[in-house]
Amino acid sequence: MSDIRCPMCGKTNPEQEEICQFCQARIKPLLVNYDENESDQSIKSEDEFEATDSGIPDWLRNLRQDESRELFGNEDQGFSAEKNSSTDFDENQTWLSDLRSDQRDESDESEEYDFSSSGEEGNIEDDDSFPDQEIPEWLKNIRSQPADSEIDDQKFGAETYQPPFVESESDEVVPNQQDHFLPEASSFTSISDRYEPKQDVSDDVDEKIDDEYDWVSEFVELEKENDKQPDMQSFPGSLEKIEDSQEIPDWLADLASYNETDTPHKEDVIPEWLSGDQLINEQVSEVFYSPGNDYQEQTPEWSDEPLQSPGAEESETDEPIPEFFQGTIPPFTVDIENFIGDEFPEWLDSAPAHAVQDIDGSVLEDDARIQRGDLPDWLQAMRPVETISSGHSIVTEQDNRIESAGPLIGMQGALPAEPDIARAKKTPVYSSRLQVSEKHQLQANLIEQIIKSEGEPVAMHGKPILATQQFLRIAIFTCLFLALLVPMVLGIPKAPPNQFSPEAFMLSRLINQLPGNAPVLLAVDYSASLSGELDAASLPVIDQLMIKGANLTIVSTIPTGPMQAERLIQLANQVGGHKYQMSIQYDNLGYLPGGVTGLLGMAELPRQLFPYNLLGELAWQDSRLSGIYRLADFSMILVLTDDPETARTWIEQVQPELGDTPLGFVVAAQVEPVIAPYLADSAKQIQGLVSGLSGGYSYEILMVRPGIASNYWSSYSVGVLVVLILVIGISLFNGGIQLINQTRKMGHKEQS
Amino acid sequence: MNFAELNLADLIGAVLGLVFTLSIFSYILGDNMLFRIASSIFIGAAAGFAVILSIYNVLIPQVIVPLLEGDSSNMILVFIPLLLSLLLVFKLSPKLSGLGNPSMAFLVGVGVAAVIGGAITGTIFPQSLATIHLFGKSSEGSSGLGIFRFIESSIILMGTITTLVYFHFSARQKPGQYPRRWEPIEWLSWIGQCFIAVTLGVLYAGVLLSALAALVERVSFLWKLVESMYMIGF
Repeated sequence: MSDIRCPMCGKTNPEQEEICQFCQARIKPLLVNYDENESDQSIKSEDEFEATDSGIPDWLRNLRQDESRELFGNEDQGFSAEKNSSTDFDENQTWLSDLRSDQRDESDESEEYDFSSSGEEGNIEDDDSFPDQEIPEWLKNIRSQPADSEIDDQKFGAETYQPPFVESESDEVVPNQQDHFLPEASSFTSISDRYEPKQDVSDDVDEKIDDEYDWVSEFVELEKENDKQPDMQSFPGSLEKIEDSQEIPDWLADLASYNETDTPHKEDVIPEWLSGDQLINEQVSEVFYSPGNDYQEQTPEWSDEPLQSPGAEESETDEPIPEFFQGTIPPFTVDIENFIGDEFPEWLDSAPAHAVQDIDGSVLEDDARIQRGDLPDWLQAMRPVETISSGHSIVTEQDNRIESAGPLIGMQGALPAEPDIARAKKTPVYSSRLQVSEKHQLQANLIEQIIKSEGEPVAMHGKPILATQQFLRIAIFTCLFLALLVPMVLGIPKAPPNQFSPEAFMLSRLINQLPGNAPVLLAVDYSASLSGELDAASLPVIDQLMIKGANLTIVSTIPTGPMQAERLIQLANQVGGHKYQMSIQYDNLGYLPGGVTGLLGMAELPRQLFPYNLLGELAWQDSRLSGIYRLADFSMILVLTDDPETARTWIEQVQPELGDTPLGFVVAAQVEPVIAPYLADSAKQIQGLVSGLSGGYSYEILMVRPGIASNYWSSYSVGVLVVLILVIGISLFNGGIQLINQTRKMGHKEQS
Repeated sequence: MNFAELNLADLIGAVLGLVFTLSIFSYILGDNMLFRIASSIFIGAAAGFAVILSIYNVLIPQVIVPLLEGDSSNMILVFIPLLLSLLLVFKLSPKLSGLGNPSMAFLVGVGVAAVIGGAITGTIFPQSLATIHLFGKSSEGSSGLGIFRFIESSIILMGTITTLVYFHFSARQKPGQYPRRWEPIEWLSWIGQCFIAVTLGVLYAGVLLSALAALVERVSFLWKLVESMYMIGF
């Protein structure tokens, strides 16, 4: 069982189905089911066609056979325009070549044929016999429109939508479509014959032609005359009119008459492109492009262009001409005579003239053969019934405009470049002012003012010569300076310390317990900024060590430490009257890099970290250090530092490695609070401490060797007193001011 | 100090000391050029001296000499830190700074390990034991100061505990109230806050005394210089 494929949705349906089960589109042609008489009539027409076939030339018979195969031979495919539209160009070339060859063969015999008897006229009248109730509305409208008096303005409207097949009929055809469009054109014209009242439309066409194309009207008149007098003897007279009016050569007149007869619907709703002129072009092209033609060399160059133009692809794909293209394409037939001129050879004069009579009768045959119900389903479904029934004309209005400028000057219906498509428009001007609300405007103004105020210069207030802070600074310095200077100038006797420092006493006792020439590691880790305090505090200790004859080994964990140590030794020599020299009584190993890790490494491997002394000599080959391999081998470790962190690092990293070796500190006053817990009885991590100038002075008192600390003590004591007074006095002053301010604020609050 | 006894170098040093001291004192009147010149000279001299000292006291004796004169074992021992040191140079380049990461990792790792280890063995354990031993027999074995020692030890213990409690910041939040620690913790932290304030005051006093001692030394220098100049007839 064969299925029928729906032309709309592409799905298969059973053969007996008339309407697609899926998209409800009609599968089978309407006409087939309309009337049995119609089908009979079609069969009858076919028979008549075959009966009259004997008088038809071979090329036309072949053409008809091809059409009959398409129309009737394959009912499954029916009137499949898809097939027609998808027909290969090669196939067209094949039948065209056959046609050409037949035409050449018939050129001598065409006069013998009589095509006047066609017997197909009854089929045309059968179109009117269709029951009205089975005719769709769009068709009724189409039928009613030609009777309308205003149809001229509407049916040729360029913007009126028309189905593709109607467009092909009524509208202009691109010239390059002519080669392979001919069989389809015949089919379409047959369709139009069935759907259009023949006389009305022909009248409309005539009126249109009369209005716009005078020379075409000549053709139309010629056609009418041919219809009335199909005899070849009547053509010369008609062609003379054309020649006189349009200067068309004889061969073209014959060719026109030939094509008019070749066209099976010369009196029907034949669109302009199919009426005469277009077929003339087609025939001319056939003649020119037929292989083996002796006159091919005379073919003008313009004749090649239509075949190579892109419009040919459109016709092959059978795509509908877009709306914007409708009405803008000039009818090719208008220009053909300009191109043809008088250059056609004479052989064209005779052959078409005979063909007129040959084809004259076949027109009716086509009308009779192509029935209304033979419309393919896909075409039925695509038919815009509503659009047409709503009153739109199927005939487009031709473009009457004539180019007035440019290379196309004088041509009619050329694509409008400026008025419609590329109409110059003035760029609209939009307001650049923002549409903002009043609130936004106020905020914008506020921001603008703020930004403006940022850029405006502000007058600088005069800087007072003596500000309050500067005054206080000078006042405090003056007080301290005088407090320190006056005791020095006046020689105020030194006040004894309130009590001896137990930490200093502990360190003094440790030093006293050292054996003679005991190796002592002296770490000088204070900077020059606090050298005044550290020198005064450490000199009595260094003095005691020198008295004991200790072999001093100096290291430092800060870069300026080695130089500070040299200065300290020289100062100790100067104050204590010693003669300590490097490499004899002491060694300066220099700077120890690495911070914490450096100290840890030195505690374990001092020889590897300090292979040379500050003078570049091998430090550990001296007999004084021969027995030293680690810090615990020293008799005592004495650290001079002004940094709490350095003091704690020494305690944390070195003290655990010392064992029983005592660790003493001489530190600045600011370090004492940090290392004091390590000196406590419960911890005993350090064994002696001299802190600040007071510790040095106490140590000097213990040693009964006054030194620098004793010289500074009077000034230092007065200075501490003044500082204490200033601290307390200024604190009270500030507290009083704050109290007064708070009182005022409370008073203001109570008043308010 | 007597100008008549000073040699030329000491004399120049004394004069420079006077100039720089007065330049630094000029800061009392505000920031000025003399102060900035003196400060820059001190900083530059200290940096330059540090560079020279590092070259002559560190690089040459501990890197160059072992590479040139040392045996193979010393060369290997020197080569590793030298390589790590050279990798640190790549830290100057943003693109190649990754090559210096191993050296930095080594330095940071060893440094942190040394600090933590030293803090544990040198501060935390000994100081914890010292706090525990406060109420034990004193090192001197004297028993006559028992009551005062008990009070002193109690204050130290209280100060240690309350200071640690002060840094306990965990608290609970009740609905509609600010987060607040437990009431006893609040009281203990307040006591710890007092101890911390006293400690900071003592540290400030130590800094003040150190600065005062330095000022005393400078004033004494100036006075002796003026006195010497006056004595020799300037």
